[in-house]
Amino acid sequence: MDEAGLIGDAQRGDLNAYNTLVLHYQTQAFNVAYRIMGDVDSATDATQEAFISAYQAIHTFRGGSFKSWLMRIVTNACYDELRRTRRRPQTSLDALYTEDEAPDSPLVSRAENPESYAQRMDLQAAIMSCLQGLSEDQRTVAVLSDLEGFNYDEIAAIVGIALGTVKSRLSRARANLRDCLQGYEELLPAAYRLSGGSP
Amino acid sequence: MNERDRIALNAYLDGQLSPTEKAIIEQRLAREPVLRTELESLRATVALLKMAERVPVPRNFTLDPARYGRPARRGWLGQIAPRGMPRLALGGALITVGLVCAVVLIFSLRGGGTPMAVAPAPGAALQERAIGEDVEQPLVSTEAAPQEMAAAEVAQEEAVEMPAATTTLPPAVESYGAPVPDEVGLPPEGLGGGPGGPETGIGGAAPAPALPLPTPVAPQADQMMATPTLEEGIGPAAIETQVVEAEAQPITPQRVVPPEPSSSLPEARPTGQADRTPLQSWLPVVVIVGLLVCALFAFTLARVLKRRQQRDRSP
Repeated sequence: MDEAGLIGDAQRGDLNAYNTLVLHYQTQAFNVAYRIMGDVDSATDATQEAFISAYQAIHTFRGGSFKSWLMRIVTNACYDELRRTRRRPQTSLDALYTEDEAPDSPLVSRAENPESYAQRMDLQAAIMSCLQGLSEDQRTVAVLSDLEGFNYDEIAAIVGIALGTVKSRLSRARANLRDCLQGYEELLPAAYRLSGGSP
Repeated sequence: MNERDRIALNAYLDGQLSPTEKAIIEQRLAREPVLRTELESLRATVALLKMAERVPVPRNFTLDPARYGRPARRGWLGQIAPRGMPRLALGGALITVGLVCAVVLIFSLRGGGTPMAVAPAPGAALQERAIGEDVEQPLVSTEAAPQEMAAAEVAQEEAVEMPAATTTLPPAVESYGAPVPDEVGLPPEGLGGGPGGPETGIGGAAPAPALPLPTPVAPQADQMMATPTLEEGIGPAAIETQVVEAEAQPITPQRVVPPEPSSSLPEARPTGQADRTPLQSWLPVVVIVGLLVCALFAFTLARVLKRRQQRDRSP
């Protein structure tokens, strides 16, 4: 994919070029939003809003990492959506279903045996629960670093904070996640258990 | 284990340390088991987090060409804005500059008057009324009025002391709105048919019974057209009509010779505020309020458009 060429075409108003970029980055953008927001519906709204905002502001992109630039818009859209949700709490009808009952859960794999699927789902639920226990700032840094694989400089650019702040937030986030995940050890299989803890 | 060591361990785990820092932390890990235990627990935590699965997108997030197909053009504000400058900031800056320019322009046109003094002075109102009535009545200067009134008082005193001379001496000031005498007390000779003749004048500096009839010296053109002159002769009926009109009309100051408007107007303006009309006085307030209303309207319109846009975008 000629990313630079697509970006240039999108800046000149070529929507097809921009949609090509959307298709390339939408999974990562949605996953970042999903981990930050905690539910599919809010993540969908935030992601859609982010891609619209990115298209409207693509003329301000002056080179560099387009992925970092886009992820910054996604995180900002997530913060906006979180603020909006706090002002007007809403209960989604989809939330009335449990994950096992949800027919089109994104984590369902029908080719997997039930025991393995259950263990995997327990781990995913534990991770998601522990992530939601973090503050927004720590959660965003942990998601970008440990789930999406961004380095410290990229995280600093995406979140708009200093490098030292990234380090301290990530350190606290990991300490909190470790303590949280240790509370799920009885529910997790031995392969997923943490060995040792904070001294 | 302090926070600094934990941060250093995380950076070491992520490969974010410089070679010097990395060497230092490795030396400490070799001799401090607590650090090693902490590092292993952090490594396990990160490994567990990396097992978090990617969630497939529920739908594509591509933009609809029917709605977003037009070129991503910038609005007029965005086109004149420097790159990277938010349009909102530019709009705010433009409004601020416009307000400052409007205020400076307004107060410079007002001749440095007090910004909050928007109500015209009473003297100015009198001047404005006098200017407005300049066509029908002679203008009375506020500066000249006290002098002429003083002269009228002196003439009245002289008339009291020498009543017989009232018909022979030329009046110093013909009329200044003396109280209208009772119709019964009018002396017949004082109404133009007396021995004083037309030149002696009627009323004016005469004693109390004198009638302040329109002066025969230099009447205005319209008064000349409306009022019969002394040369034409005034009959008793006309005199009575004039007396009744004089009683009915409000007392207005008059002078003998109407001054030239061009020469009298500067004297009638002791300050720079006297020539302001109420519209000019209220102009700053009107402009500022108008700008504020426009800004409020623009803000409300922007919010409404944004809400509508968000509603349209919602699936």
